[in-house]
Amino acid sequence: MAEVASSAKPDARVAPRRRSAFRRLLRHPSGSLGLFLSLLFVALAVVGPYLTPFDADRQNYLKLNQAPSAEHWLGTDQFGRDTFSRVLAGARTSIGIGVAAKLLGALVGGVWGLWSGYAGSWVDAVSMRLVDVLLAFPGLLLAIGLIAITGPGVGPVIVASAVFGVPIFARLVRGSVLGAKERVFIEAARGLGAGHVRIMFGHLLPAVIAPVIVYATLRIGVTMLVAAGLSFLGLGVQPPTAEWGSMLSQAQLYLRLDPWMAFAPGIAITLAVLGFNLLGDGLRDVLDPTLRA
Amino acid sequence: MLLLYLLRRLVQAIPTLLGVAILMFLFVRALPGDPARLYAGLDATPAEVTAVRERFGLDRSLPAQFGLYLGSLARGELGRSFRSDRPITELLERHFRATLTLSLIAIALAMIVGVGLGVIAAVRRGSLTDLGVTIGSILGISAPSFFVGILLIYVFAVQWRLFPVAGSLTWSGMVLPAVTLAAGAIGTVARFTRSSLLEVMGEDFVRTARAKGIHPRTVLRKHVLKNALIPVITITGLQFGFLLSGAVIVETVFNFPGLGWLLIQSIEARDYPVIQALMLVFSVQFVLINLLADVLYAAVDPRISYG
Amino acid sequence: MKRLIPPILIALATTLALGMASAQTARVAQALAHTSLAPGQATGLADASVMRTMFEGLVGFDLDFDVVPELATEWTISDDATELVFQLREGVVFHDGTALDAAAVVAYLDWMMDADNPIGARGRGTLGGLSEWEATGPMELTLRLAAPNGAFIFNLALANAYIASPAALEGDVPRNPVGTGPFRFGEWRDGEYVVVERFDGYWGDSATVDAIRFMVVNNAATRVAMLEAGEIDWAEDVPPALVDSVDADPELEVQVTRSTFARTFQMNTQRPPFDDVRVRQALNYAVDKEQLALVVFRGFATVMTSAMPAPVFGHTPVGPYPYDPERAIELLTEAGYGPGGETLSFGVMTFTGSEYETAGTVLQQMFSDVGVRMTLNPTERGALVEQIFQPLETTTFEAGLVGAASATGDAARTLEISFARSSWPPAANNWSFFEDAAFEDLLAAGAATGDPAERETIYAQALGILHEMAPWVFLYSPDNIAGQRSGVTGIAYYPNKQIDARRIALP
Repeated sequence: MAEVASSAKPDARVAPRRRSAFRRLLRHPSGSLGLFLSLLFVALAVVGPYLTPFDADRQNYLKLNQAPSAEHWLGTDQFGRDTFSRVLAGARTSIGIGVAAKLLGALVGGVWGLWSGYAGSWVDAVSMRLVDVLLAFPGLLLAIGLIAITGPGVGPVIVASAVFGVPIFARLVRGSVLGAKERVFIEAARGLGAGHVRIMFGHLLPAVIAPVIVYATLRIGVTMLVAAGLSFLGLGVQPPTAEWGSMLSQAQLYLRLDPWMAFAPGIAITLAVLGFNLLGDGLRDVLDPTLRA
Repeated sequence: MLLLYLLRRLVQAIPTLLGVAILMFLFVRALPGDPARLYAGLDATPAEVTAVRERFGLDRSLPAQFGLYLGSLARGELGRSFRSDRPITELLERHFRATLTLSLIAIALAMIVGVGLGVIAAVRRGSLTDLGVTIGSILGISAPSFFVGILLIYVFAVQWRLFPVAGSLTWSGMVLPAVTLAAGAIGTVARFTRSSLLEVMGEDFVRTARAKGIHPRTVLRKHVLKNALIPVITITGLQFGFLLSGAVIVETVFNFPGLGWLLIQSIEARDYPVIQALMLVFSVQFVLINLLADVLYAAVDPRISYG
Repeated sequence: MKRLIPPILIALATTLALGMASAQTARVAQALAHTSLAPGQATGLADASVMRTMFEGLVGFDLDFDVVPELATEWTISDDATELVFQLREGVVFHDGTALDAAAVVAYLDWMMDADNPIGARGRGTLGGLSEWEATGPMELTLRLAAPNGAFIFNLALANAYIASPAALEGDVPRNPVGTGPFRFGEWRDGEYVVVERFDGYWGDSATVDAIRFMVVNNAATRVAMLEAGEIDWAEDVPPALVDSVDADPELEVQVTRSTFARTFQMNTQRPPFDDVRVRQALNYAVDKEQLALVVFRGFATVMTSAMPAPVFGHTPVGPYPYDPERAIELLTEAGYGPGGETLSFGVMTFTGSEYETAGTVLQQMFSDVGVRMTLNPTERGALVEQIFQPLETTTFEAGLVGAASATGDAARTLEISFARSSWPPAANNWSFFEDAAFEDLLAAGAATGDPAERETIYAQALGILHEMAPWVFLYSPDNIAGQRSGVTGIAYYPNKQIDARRIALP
């Protein structure tokens, strides 16, 4: 809630402030580490699948559950697939799902909040009650239900993970819109004959988008954890797609004899989420003056 | 004034709860999966499945079922579980007690360790210790709980055999799941303590105290901590609320018989009455925790009034 | 304070030691929660396993799934397989003190077979065809069947045919089990455990432990870890991947036995592409079953040589299809797939996060080696069950990687439930919508006789037809694997995975 209030003020000097914020982020020790890690993992998501020393999906029944070696740096899994290759290939799935789900959640929630805040009156009242219901409705159950209905796959996992963010974004954006709506420039636009859609997306959206971006970055890590958790519960992507959460879930069985099977994807998820969280934390520090001590 | 505010908020919550109840009623029935078939078994004859369906009351029309559901809710009854045929209140009580105990331990752990780390980080602001605590606490938030749980089982239960593998309502059985749950909360509490302390330390009265030559440690203890801890308590309360909703994944990893565990079991069996009851409990908790948080915020920040 | 501690410790240790000596409890971990302990209502193996310690049937199984005397000491079956006469055991009492005689069994059956009694629904399914039950002497019971059923005696050995005390049929029957077994009901914490305690009035050899605690531990890895940590004495369903780990522990051992379970790849024989028998045979040739069993079950599985696992009565080897990718490609080409034709592609549903999913991942590669593209759709159990039970008109079922169990251990019911026309969904488990007139005739002939030799010949022919028509890719039958503390004896799986813990003894 505090975020909503403090970030509701649009700033005329947005551009120059952002540049100095970036410099401050680079000087922020944990924030810069987060930036570095995030960039590293985003890069991995882009090029990872092309760097694999082996075909990540090719099974080799002569090499089941091998320990790390010069040939297989992180050993092989229960199908004889190269774990290192699967961690690389899984970067795209896992990070892609996290980022895509966050974008989707921000988009749907954002439009919802924008519309609700702009429309006001009873539309706003009803739609915010609905947001309350969604917030009170446990996201995990909704996610499980969605996947039970649609069946498994990358798309359903993205949608199911996005669901967690929708009401939060709707509330965040709506709060900002309420502040921005009363400003003169909206009245001016309306006076000049701009339509509702034009006002919503052309005038209101730019005024409220900054906190949404910061908040989205803050929450990418959380969304990755949600998606990995769904995979862990068996509601993830379809085999043979490499994905860290399901790799970890499967490795659970082999923990005693082949612990490296769990360590590799577990450490990968942890580091990637750590990167996004440190970045988000750093961003909040440099952008939100009330927390900068 | 406060009482009136509370009353108004609670009345406002009724439509939300009703919405959740309706949504949940439709939602569980929209899930693919037939409770009667799942209960009777894959090799049951159609006659057996029909008999079970009648016993569950699922042969009635949807509006009739909903009417019965609302009627029993109005009487304060939650019905009986399909799967175990036990009164749901009995199930809830038992599993809620498990989750409550576990959450209390986890939150106490988070409070002690988190505040400690936060204070250290704030006092040594800018040092390597501070950076370490920052990264460490965010690491706690970042590590997936199932990974932490699996690692703890591997090290403490399998290798060293210090604690049992399966969680249970015994002291030793709760250590590993509680630590796993606390891992994330410690990070949040530590971060919050640090920033809250720094904020208070920057305020005038602290500077004045320091200028008067009072020992820094005394300043910290007498002036800073007291003022800085209120928001920390608030965030801890919120974290506690989240824990209470049953940590599905942690309870699954440790086979701990709490609310999250019950939820997963009930979804697998399509045990409609139990799922509905659990959702209602979670929603009520959510509403109450939010209300509590708002009241606490207001208590901390005199600028907010009960409008 | 310090001086207080040693006396407390000593007192504690003494109490513990005394406690252990005076009450020895065996701890058994099961995978699934219990739902009912009433014979006639039990739906799962978890229930049946606990009931095994408290109840007895007229007849029972031995560990090879052969029928042996229990409450009946001897019996005769009429030549036309419609009448069974049992001589009951003398000197047997139920846990509530009621004496066992023919009248007591008849009174129990009257209650259970009553169509209005909701608790007996499962039992009436198990005893389907039973039309009359009568006390033809104080200790002589006669059962009559509406139609010939040569396999009825197998049904009488199942958990849902166990005999409960006729004096305990009031109130909360599922939670008040009263039988004649060596253990009596103790305590039930729903979803957590059931405790049974030794019954001192048992007619046979008294149990060696004072109680058995059946604990519910869903997660397989957790069960094994508990075993390793010494928290349980016996754990069911050890995943093959963990067998090495259990074996490596000197304090633990594994129990591996044959099962009556089959793992199958079932194809919808009424819809393209699987309405073409050549396609179905091609997939049978395309699978290296030994290799598959090795990867999925670490070799703890036996390749099926017919549509039924070997321990089922009536099994005769008619297969398997050899691993022959060239032959598979040939057949596919004949059917119009492959080079020059279209690529054979389809979706297969299976249970998420299970060995089935593992098997599917391997099959995906084996099929792709012969140019077949398979999409694997691991689905949550409830949703999967809903989909496979759709009738042909509405089904989306192309193929499924699922299990088939022989609950009775006899060919009659085993083949009927999976392959008879009357078993098409939603009626029963013929998920491949298989239909064959000659096969139906053989099923009818097999039921009409009680002569074991004749029945074996008939079922061998039926199995031959199934092999030829290939509604399934016949995969393997996984072994039942349990783990235990070394030196534990007297507890084992029946081939149908029901646990018999009646004679459990701790080292």
